[in-house]
Amino acid sequence: MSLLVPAALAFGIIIPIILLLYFMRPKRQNRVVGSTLLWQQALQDLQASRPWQRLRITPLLLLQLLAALVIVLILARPAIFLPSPISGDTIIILQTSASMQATDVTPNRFEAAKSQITDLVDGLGPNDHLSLISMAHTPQVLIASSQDKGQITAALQRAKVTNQDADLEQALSLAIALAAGRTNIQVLVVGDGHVVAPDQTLVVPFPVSYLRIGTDAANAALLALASRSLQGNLVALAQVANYSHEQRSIPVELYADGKLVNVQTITLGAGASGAIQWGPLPSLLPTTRYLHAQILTQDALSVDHEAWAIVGGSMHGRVLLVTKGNNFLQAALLLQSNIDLYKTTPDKYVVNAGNFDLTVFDGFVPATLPTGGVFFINPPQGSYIFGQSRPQIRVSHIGTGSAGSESSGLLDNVDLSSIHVLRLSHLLVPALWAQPVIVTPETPLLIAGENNNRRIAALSFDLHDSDLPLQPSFPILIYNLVNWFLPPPVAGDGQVSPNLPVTVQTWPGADRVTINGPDQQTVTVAPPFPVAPYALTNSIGIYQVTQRVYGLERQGAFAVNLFDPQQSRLAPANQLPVVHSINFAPGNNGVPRVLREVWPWIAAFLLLILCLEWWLFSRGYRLQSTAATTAGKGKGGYTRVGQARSRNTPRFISEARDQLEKRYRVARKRLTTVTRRRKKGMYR
Amino acid sequence: MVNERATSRFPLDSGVLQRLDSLPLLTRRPMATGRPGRRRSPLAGSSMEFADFRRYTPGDDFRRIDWRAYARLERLFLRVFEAEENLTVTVLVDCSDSMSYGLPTKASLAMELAAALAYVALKCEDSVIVGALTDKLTTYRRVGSGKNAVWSVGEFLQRLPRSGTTDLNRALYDLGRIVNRPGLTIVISDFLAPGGYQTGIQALRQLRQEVALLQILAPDELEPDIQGDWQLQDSEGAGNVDVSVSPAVLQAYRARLATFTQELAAFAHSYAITYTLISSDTTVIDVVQRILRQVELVK
Repeated sequence: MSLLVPAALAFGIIIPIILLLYFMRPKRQNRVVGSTLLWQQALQDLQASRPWQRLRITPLLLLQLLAALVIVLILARPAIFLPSPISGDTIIILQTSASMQATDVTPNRFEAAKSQITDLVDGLGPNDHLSLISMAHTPQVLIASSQDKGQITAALQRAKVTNQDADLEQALSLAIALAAGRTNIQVLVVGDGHVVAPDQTLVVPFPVSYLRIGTDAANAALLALASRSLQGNLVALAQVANYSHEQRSIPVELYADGKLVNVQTITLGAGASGAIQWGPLPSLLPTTRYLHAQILTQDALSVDHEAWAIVGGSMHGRVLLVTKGNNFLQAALLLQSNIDLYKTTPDKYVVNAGNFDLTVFDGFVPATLPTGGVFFINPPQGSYIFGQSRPQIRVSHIGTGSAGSESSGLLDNVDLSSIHVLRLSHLLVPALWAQPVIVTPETPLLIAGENNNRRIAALSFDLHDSDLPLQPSFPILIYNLVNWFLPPPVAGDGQVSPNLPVTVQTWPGADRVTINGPDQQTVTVAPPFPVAPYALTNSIGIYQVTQRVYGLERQGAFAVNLFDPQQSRLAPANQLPVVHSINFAPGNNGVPRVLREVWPWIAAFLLLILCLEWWLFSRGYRLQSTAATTAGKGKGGYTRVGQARSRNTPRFISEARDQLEKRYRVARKRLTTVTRRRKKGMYR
Repeated sequence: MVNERATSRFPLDSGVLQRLDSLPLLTRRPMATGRPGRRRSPLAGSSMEFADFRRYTPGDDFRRIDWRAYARLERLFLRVFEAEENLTVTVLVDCSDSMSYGLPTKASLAMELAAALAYVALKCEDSVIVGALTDKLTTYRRVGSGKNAVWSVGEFLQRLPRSGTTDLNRALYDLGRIVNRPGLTIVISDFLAPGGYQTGIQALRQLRQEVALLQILAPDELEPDIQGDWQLQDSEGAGNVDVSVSPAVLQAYRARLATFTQELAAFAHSYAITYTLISSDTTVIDVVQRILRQVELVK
């Protein structure tokens, strides 16, 4: 222990001086006097009138001397060296990823980490600064360079655990930004080290300590859930992982639209993963929209025990095919799982009969266009909404147009080089809003664009005059076109990682978009348009997307699943992927040792001494008052009998004593009366 | 009257004794001692001093019938004369160790004063008892009346003990063994007795003694002249007192001494007792002719 102000110990000289004065006796000369009687009385008088008295050693005096000693010690500001990672200017990165929800430590890793940080904050020195960063997929500064323990604690309490992964690289970048312009910065990462693996070991300009939280706990996780249609039957697939050191049998339930379908148990070796397949399930396909898989085993992390999947497309649309007969096109449309296809011929076509979301005109253009999207194929010569269709010409050198870039996605995975036969095509002159997607030097072959809140595309040639329908790219092109016309709420397979903001894709004509999460909270993300990003995706489950398109409610959905092996593998990382990182642990020599003042503990001891002194004083006071009361009652004659009663006296003795006392009072009163009357001569 | 041989055994020289010859001892009221003498008695007697007339009753002495009054009034009256009796004067001297303190010592003045008072009493033909007090009535001597008895008094005073502790209550109570008639008791002491003096003096009053208290204190006791740290030892072994003498302490001592003497005076007044305080550096003739006159112990 060290003393920050050792000079204050000089005040301690007062204690031995007090004692010395007490123990010293003055050297006196002897002198014989006739009598010391008057001297003794004089000194007694003097002592009675003197404001001080002879020092007597009492427990109270000893306690007061001890208290004075402690106060002197506090003035000297004693301090001891303690290992502390938060001396000076410290940035604490609190991991808030999904794995921090594991309950292998009580109550869970996240709360344990917060508790550790709280302990560190309690030991914060007066000149120390602390910053807090929460580390999830997107790191966030909770508080920057604060000395106020209350504010730091409040910021720490605001931190919430997420279902995301943890991006250490971004968190350290944020820490570097916070540390700009300051020196002697150190960073402490508190968590289990399950971070997104960077491309290479990170190098930062300050030392990084790692306070590991958690144990190597066993965990089973669902890493994937998917469905597909196989010959009209539904097949579900789930991938299960066993993150433990022993073989385990893991039962998994499958629900379809909330109804239990089946339970399968998979036995996996230590650290292995495997797949479970349900189906074919013929009875489920027509009506089922969602699948839900759930692991029944109890272990440390439960957020990865559930998985959700959307059957078919995430949003179904009604499509009308108007053609004299085009098997290629019809087959390609039937492959699309997210549409309900209707077919008619040009002579039977009635405008807006059926409120279709997309109408495909093959070799035919009606006089009045329907609402919703319109896809023209081989439009006859004439002027239309998309531009002009002129007489057929020979074309060559098929290429990608300006609208065929990656942003539109219309040509994703489409191999145009496989088209070998294309003899004739209408010469298309696109309108201003229409962009060419597939072009030739002579004419664009495919144009697409959005006009007046609806999407319109035109293919300039007859599919029968080309080998395009025979190529694998054709159904892909149709798929891309359908998804462009009727985009799903979320791009891809409708799977979203937790806590990632989602921008819902809307159908043309949509004027209101709402999202209803698993917690049944409905949020309107539009209007206003463009659609606001939806960020409340922390919960695992199905999110319902409702769009009102031309007055009709269109239902879509997307699923939020963890599916993160990094987060499901609970064994804490031994080291952070940072150069020269230090693992913080009690007794670790690598952790800096700082001088911490211990006066609060001594002050607490002082308070204890004062409490003891008060107790002794009050106890002595009570004893004195009791003695004084007893002595005072003793002067009162008969009252002494009744009032000096012991607490342990039996009750009948007390009652008898009270009666005797009462009779004694009556007799005494009578005696007084007789005496008074006798003096007055009343008895003569 | 006192020759040279006697002076060698008597504490007072002839010059002092001559000045004492004309002094009688006074008492506050007449006392009936039953012994004829020169002092007025409260009873009727056969002295030459006419007192009163009284109706004759059978059995009275015929010789005291006033025939002239019978001639005038035809009634028999007796002439009553005052009686004159002698007094027993008891002089008690405190001989404890505390009386040996002072310069001059309190004991020397006490002895001279006792001798002077005994001389005055004997000169008045009173009986004298001289006693020594310590923690008891150590010794005493009863001397007859007449001036020749002074030799016996002188011898007794010369042989008084000079040691012992003080217990006035017990010592005065012991006086009841030797005094059985009313008289005058003079107590010469410093009255610095830890046990007090009240009980003993009350006992004297119960013996029908008229009491005079002559308190002798040394000049050092009346006005201490010490400074610094002292361990004061009691001459009678009553214990030591550590005192750091300061003006405040001296002031407290003076206040305590004043209280002590005032209490003694108040006690004496309440029992109709003569009291006076005498410094030991006072001469005996000064005491007798000035101080004792002031308190009307001598005339």
